[in-house]
Amino acid sequence: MTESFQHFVAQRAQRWLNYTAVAPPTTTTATSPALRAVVTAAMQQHHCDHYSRRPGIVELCDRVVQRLAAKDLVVDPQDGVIITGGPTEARYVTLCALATGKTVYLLPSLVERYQAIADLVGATLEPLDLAAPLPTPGAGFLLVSSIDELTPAVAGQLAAWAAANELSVIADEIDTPLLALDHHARPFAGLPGMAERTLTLGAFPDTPALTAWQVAWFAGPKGLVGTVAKLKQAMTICTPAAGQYAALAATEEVTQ
Amino acid sequence: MTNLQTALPGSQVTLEELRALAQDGTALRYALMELSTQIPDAIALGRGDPDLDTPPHVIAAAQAAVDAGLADQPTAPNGMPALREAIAAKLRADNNIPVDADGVVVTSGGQEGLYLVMQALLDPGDEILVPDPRYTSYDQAIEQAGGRMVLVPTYPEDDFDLRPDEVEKAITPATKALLIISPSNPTGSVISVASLHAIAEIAKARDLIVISDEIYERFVYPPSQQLSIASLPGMAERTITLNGFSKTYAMTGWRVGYLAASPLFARVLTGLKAAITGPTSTVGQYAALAAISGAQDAVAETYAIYMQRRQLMMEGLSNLGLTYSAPQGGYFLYTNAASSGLSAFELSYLFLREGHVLIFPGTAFGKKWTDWLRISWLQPEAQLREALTRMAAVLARHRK
Repeated sequence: MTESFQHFVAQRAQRWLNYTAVAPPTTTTATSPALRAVVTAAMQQHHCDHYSRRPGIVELCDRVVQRLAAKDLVVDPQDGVIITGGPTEARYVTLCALATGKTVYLLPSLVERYQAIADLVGATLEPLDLAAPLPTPGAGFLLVSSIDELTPAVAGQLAAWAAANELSVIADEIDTPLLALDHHARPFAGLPGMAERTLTLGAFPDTPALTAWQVAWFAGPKGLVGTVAKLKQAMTICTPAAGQYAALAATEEVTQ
Repeated sequence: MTNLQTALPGSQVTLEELRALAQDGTALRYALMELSTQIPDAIALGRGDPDLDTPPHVIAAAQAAVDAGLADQPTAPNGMPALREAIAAKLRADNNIPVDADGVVVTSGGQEGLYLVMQALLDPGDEILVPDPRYTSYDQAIEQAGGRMVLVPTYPEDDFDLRPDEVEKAITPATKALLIISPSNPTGSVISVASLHAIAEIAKARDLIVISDEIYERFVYPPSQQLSIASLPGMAERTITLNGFSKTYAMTGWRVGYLAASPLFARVLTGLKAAITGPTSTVGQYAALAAISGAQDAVAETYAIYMQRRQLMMEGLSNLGLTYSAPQGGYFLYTNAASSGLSAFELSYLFLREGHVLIFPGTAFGKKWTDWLRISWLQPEAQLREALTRMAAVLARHRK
């Protein structure tokens, strides 16, 4: 190898090697026998052999749509929901497709959490000041996270600020059990005026046990979903079918 | 896409509507695939998803992992050690690539592997050489990294071999890497041994990184030979070999691929993977481990099936008056439809609308390929025969 190429790789190493410190997460929970039965049946019937429908298997997309509808958020099952290869992929494709080269406004408490991925995709994080209108309405995104930890008043203020400044919203609700009917959590996109401007990122019930299955979702208006879906499909085509059946079974369980 | 979907069946979609909705190659392929799914008796000779099943022992291994709770345990971002060991052993034995497990990164399909490589290698303004025609899904990975794709022409008169002099001519001070795919999608060409040796010398002399997409390597037809460029002297450390399980083992739905590179570069790719997608799904990795470690009978059976279908399709297309380069590998026929008097775009539209046969026009793989069609043989023989019959009827009605 030539010296210049060595130098190049070493430079790249400096940029990326810190991520390798990420240890594999460990799970203390296990998927249920019922979930395993659903997945193995799908495997035996060869439902996991081939590329799934690009947005995700129909039953799972429909399930996400139904659960969101139960929380007063209407999403188009055809164009409004995409199953992703896990939470990390969901966050990356969303921020990369929507926020590269743009400003992302967020509560100051969230800056540290999103700094690494913002650096990765080339987005600028800007702690927001709810009292100050943006000089250029419509430029950038509002990023909200962990909605169920916000008071209704703060959530309402964020929604009003996004609307006043004509911003689209990325609602990272992966850590919120949005699809669990017995949980109080409601999507940010369900706030007045937010559905048409918000892309919601979410996980499936029993998420700790599903970590290794790499499955999550995003949903919202067609324009935002389409932009992110294009990158997701360019990266990984579609999400592993076995994980999608596992997620379907997981959402089934929480109805019972 | 909504207009297309709601206007179906396909007879309601005009050629111009399709053209307007499918501005780039990938969008065109997706648009045609969406159309075909709305036609109940459509025969899909477009997409590259094997029609065969994942081998039973692979599914059994995945089931065993699920039953034992192993599929619930996340792995390291670069994959399970046992799988990386098995991949490295395969690359040493079958491909003569000197690599250990620490040079292997398991990915969520080959396409993710390519995306990671582009992100890791390219800075804005960097140029990467790509043979033309190409699998256009490369485009977005390159664009997203800020790179600039420079097309290297290939020619039907030498069966789309990659000419070293064309590679040399395309190199500029901004050239960072060369992407090769052999066997090729869409042409079915296999880069000749002589060309590959010459290209390796160019890469070393001009300090290029080579990305070698070898996803179709198990399906190479005599007299062509598969040769991994990383096996040539001085090339392992500057080559990133990309491969996967989807095509060889009919495992597209499991989404498992891999990259092989120098250990340091593999660590770079691992860091990037951890940040972008995280580890590949564990159940898929257990399936892949069984595929690569177990009996390879299914691969041999698939090879025999593909050989028969290849022959059937070559004869059928000849009878239709269409010309092609005999596929040297993979499962696509790159076919020249100029004798029809129609553009390939029009012809693929008519094949789908009237014949209910999905075939991609060459413009889905590069703008200049207006006379060409990519036809796969990933259907049972009876379906292939039926498709040829329908294509003959369409051609009889519209040939100019």
